[in-house]
Amino acid sequence: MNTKEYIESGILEEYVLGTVSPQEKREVECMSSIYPEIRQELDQLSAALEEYAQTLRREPPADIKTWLLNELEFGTSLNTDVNESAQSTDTESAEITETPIRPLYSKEEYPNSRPTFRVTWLVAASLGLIVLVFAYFLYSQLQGSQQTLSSLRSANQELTEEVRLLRAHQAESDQTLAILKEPGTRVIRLNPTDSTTSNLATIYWNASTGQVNLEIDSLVRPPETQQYQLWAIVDGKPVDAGVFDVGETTRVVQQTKKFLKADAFAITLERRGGSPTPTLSTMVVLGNVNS
Amino acid sequence: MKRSNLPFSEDVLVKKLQLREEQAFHLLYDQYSPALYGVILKVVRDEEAARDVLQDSFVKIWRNIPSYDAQKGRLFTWLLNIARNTAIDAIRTRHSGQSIQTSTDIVDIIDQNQQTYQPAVETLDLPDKVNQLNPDRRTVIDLVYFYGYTHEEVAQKLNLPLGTVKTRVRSALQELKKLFGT
Repeated sequence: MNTKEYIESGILEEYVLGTVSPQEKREVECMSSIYPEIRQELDQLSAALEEYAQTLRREPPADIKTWLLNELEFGTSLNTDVNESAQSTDTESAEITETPIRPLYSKEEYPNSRPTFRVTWLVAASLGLIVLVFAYFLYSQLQGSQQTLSSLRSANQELTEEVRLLRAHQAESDQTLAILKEPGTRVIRLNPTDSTTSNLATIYWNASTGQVNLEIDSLVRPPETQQYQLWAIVDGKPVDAGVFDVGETTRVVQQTKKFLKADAFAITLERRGGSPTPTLSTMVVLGNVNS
Repeated sequence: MKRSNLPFSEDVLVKKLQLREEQAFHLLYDQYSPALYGVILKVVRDEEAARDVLQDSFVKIWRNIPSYDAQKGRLFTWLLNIARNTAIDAIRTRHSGQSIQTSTDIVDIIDQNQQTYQPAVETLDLPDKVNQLNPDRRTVIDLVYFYGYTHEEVAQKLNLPLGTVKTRVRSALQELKKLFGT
């Protein structure tokens, strides 16, 4: 190895200015420990920079030294560890437990410091705690929002259902109203035969068109095997006017059969499909046209 | 060291420092703090920031003195490097996001080095030796040593080829070495 060449390569200048890579740094330190010429050149360059630094001398504020004397730890005995344990404050005892770590870093020029480690851990721990608390806060916020959302959802469902029912009622009312508005429509209340309840059904009969509409008010829903059947009494004889079901919402039933003449209307409970003649014992309601 | 007025040799001082003797700290501080403070002030250019950096630097020095090895380099150089790196870190944190200073800062540095007849207050007390240094070379040293620029950054900022920067860095240090010839 030509030391002159090495000195002239400029690597030593870079080393003293601190612009070398860690690998180059180790290389220069190795070379300078082997070759005195390299060491000498390095020292001269360092000294030149030291002299340059000396030209910048400025007296620092006096209180910095006081601060440092308070802040730094001093020992006077040879065994610093013993000395440190003598002043057994919390900080110092923490120092002692970590003291054996020191040799690990002794090769490094600027080792990671113990107090910095401690501060780093403290900062990391408190950051972790903050994140945890914040996460819990977010979680509880989320829970609250979800609860609100589900209650809103059910409220919305109830409202929708209510609106649907109201619409159906509205439609039926409109239908009823339309039937009633038609000229010639007569309203025939069908009264219960046993007169326990009232207003079970109403017939809207238009004598001029023969249209029969049935409004179910409070007829009880029959079993599946049975069906209500409407009869028109014409000239004293019952004429089939069609069967109908009592649905959940349908209240107005438009019968397909038309009657231009009728004396009365009646509803009987028959087997499903209807009967050719009414079973009078099962007659539920009867309404006289002229009453 | 020529300037040294220590009652004992530097080796003894280092040993005493490594034992964390308070008396050794007084000697170290009195001996080196003005130069370190001057360097820090040159880097951070703000007295408030400089005092913080000086405090931090001495905390680091005190913490790391057990690992100082005289075989690897001179004590003052070691101290200077700690102070300089702490100061450079401080300005980089201050200019958070920007890894290096704005171009106005560099114009300042260059102007300051070129103006030999109307120097800034900071340069007034500079001995003639530093002012004898070629201003271009001094700019390069200042950028690299005091502001922590890489050669690439210097080349970019001064609009020079990288090779020229490398040559200039080397000749600047050689010139400095001759000026302060030991």
